[in-house]
Amino acid sequence: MNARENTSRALDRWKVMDAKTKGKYARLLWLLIGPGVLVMLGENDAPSMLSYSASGSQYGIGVFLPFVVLTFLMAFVVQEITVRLGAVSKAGHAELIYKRFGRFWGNFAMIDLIFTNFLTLITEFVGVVAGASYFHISKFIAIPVAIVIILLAYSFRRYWSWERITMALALFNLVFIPIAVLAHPDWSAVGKSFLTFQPFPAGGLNNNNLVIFLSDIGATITPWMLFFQQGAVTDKGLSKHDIRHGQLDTLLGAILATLAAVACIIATSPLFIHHMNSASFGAAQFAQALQPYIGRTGSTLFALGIMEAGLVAATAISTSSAYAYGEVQRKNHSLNSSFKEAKSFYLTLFAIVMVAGGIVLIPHFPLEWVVLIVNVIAVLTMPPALGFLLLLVNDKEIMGEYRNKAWANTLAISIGVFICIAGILYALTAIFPNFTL
Amino acid sequence: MTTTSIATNDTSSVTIRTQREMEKHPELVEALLTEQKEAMQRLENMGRMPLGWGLKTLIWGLRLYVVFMLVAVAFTVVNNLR
Repeated sequence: MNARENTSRALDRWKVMDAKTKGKYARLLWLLIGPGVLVMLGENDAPSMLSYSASGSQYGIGVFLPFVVLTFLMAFVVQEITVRLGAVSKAGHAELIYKRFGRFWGNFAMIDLIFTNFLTLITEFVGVVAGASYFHISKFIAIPVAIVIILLAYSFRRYWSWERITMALALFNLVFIPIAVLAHPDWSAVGKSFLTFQPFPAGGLNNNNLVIFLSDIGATITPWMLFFQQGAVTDKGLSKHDIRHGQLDTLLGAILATLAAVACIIATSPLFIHHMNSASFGAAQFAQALQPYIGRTGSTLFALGIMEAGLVAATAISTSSAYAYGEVQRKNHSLNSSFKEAKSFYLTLFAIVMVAGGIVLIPHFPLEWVVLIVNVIAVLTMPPALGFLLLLVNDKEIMGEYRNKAWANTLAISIGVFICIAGILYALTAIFPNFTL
Repeated sequence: MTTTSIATNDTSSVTIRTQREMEKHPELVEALLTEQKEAMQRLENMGRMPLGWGLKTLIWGLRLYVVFMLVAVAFTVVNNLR
């Protein structure tokens, strides 16, 4: 750690201690929230919002509403572990995997991360372009502007400033709530779906329906979230004494993200009611098709919401890749460092953003294809990531008294098994198209 | 004085609002980052986790699962392209 990074982190610790001493609990919460809210709202990214839109427009109000709540509960269980790991070990996720399992397994984890992160980052820019196209803005303007906004957030050379700017942007994700209200949904049907998990999609668990289910899981639980939140908790400098606030931060993020996701499904449900064929819709088409039901204001907000989702997630995902790269290379990897002090960290970050943005500008690149499979791939690469996470959080040498209790292990293992089974069902329906449950 | 402040959780004896003010108190920076330095030191001295055959089988199983699933995704994509 360099002197600047040290003083930045010490100043943050001092402010936390000051708030604790003076009993200023609201300020304490304000100082300690961040990584959890960011990771959860960041995961409500462009492909996730498109996945929720597909759920709402193809199946209406039904099983997907409570299912999304369930997936965010799972996300909370998994992400809470990264708070403890980061606060106790003060090390990033990649660093711990390399340290405890060696380069062989570390490289596998990194390949999964870089591969899924890069595909996801491309789809974030696709989201930005799709949202911008609603306003007739060319992708050759939208992408450079998005890149400039992302890079500007890093120019403060302070984790705290970056976190607050990105969090302010991320809160715009809640715009889907007023859009849902504008759709005038049948609230009794909404309530009934939460209580009964019904109606279930026609055709049972066939390939088409499973892709949507899997896509909704991938919209809430992905490997990059583990690397990002643990890295952010470490960069923020959370201590063991802040774990409770870190958990609260993650819970708050999960609640806000669930509200936005549920709202997105409700907002697009008029397309199902009016039998619109939305199977191949992109973000702009969703916004345009919804205009008769939610008005010009609603559809404009919808397009803006997709753009924002892409922008925030692009920031968080590129940071997660750069954190992991810096940890593995054992180079300075803190947003509290200047460009000169953490050159490889910032260059990795910029390069990832530029290349992903550049790919979206390539004519005839199969972007729709990438958007469709990115969430599915994220879910399928999750079990090994969960395996390492569980091994690390049960590592007595790292975690000591903060390691997982038996009930927490049971919950996390159940989530892992659930994701594995969902993946296996998907594979069965892919290989045997007539297979249904 | 400041190190004592940390030990007793007393922040009233010093007023620090900016990074520049913090830079004037190197001993305070040192004290505030004690937990961090101890954790890093502990990690530095840590070796590899011993992996028994059960754990190795689990990790390999999960890795093969990913490979198999990616083949399934490729299969779906090729089918859809046709």
